[in-house]
Amino acid sequence: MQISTNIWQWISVACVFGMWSLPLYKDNPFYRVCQNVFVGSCAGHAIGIAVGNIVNYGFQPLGQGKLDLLIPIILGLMLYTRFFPGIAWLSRWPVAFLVGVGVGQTIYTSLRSQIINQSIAAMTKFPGQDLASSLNGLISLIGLLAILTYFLFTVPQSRFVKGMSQLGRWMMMVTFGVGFGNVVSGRLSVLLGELLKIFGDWLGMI
Amino acid sequence: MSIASGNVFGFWLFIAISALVIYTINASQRGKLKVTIRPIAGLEAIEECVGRATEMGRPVHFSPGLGDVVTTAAADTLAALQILSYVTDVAARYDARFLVTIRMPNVYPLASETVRQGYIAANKADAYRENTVRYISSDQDAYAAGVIGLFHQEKVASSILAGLYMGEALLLAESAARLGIMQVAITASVTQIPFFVAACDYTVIGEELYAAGAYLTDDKGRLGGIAAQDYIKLIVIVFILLGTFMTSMGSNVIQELLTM
Repeated sequence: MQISTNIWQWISVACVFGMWSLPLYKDNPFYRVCQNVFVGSCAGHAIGIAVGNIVNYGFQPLGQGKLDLLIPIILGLMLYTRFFPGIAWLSRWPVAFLVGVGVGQTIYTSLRSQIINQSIAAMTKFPGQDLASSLNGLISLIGLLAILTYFLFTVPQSRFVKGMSQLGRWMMMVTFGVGFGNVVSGRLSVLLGELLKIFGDWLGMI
Repeated sequence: MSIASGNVFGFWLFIAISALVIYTINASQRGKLKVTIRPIAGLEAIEECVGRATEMGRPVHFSPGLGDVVTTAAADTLAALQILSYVTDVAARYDARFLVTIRMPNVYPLASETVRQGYIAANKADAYRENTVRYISSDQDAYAAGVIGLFHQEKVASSILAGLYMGEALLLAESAARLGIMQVAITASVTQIPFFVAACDYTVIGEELYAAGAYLTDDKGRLGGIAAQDYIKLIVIVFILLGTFMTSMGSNVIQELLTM
């Protein structure tokens, strides 16, 4: 066993223990220190990146004569007018612009990927190449239609619609169960990575 | 000017959907179309969530998710902000301590304004505090760490998680469950729903997130929008059945139409 002499390994492992102390023990000053260091360093990093972006993609090209960049810079500055009550209403303009861009992007991508492409993918050929692929296709098709029915909110709940909704709910629960299992195994690999750091990089036991 | 190949059907579908949405919203507002949404248990529990926090004299927490308003997650975030408006109204009426945590900087001014307007609308402008809406961190893990810390330090009684969530969903929900915090999760993030189902008291899933604003406010215009979405889903079901039948008959005419 050869314990690491690297100060950053010690700090890293101390932070891991600090974060683990909350679920394994309870809220404590050690956890709070680690939490605040983590949140604070992330905030500092984000500010650094933001300032870098403003300088590299805003002020520098502006200095080279790209005057159209004045528009986003002014819109950005208008966001801060909310701190001045007299002109606070100006901050709504850039927010409205941001929301407009977001909604515009969403409409295009949703229409293409979530309606057209998924509808095409659902159109399977029956019978399939063999019995197994035919069954698979049938389960997929019925499952899709049942789940779509579950998400019909305003249609009168007749016996057929209710039955399909129930089937859709069961289909979703099975899918969620599979997803849960997959992610749990993924999280275990993250835990193993942390244990490797402690027993390998820090304690030198592995 | 012509429409790029592969986008022709998408363009006309967009026009048709837009026309349908505008028509149903107008029809619903004028009373020509009566829209009733089926019960959604998780949304009914929001008032119980706020009431519980009020009785315990502890805060109710709300998160509008990790999504931004300038990405494809905009729909989820905007739906979460509609729910925030309703929760603010209930919290203001109940005089509950209210705490909103934000991950994306762009969402902060929207959430802040939504909460402030909510308090003003409830005639409780004095009850609004500047630190009601708190920006935590744009890093998702740091955001989770910050919110979990708040759960402990502020002794939160109930938590409502709405909008887009990623890997930290289980961190938030499980930490709250261990503290006995009552939780309602409202998300369309398919990969995170299993964790919310396992750890939360109520989970509102998938498109129920987008219907939540109309359901909670009973706004006729929004209800008209939900009716339009249902009509579109019914049309999609017909297209899928027709496409499957034609494919089985050896014809790809429907697929070719959709990819025109």
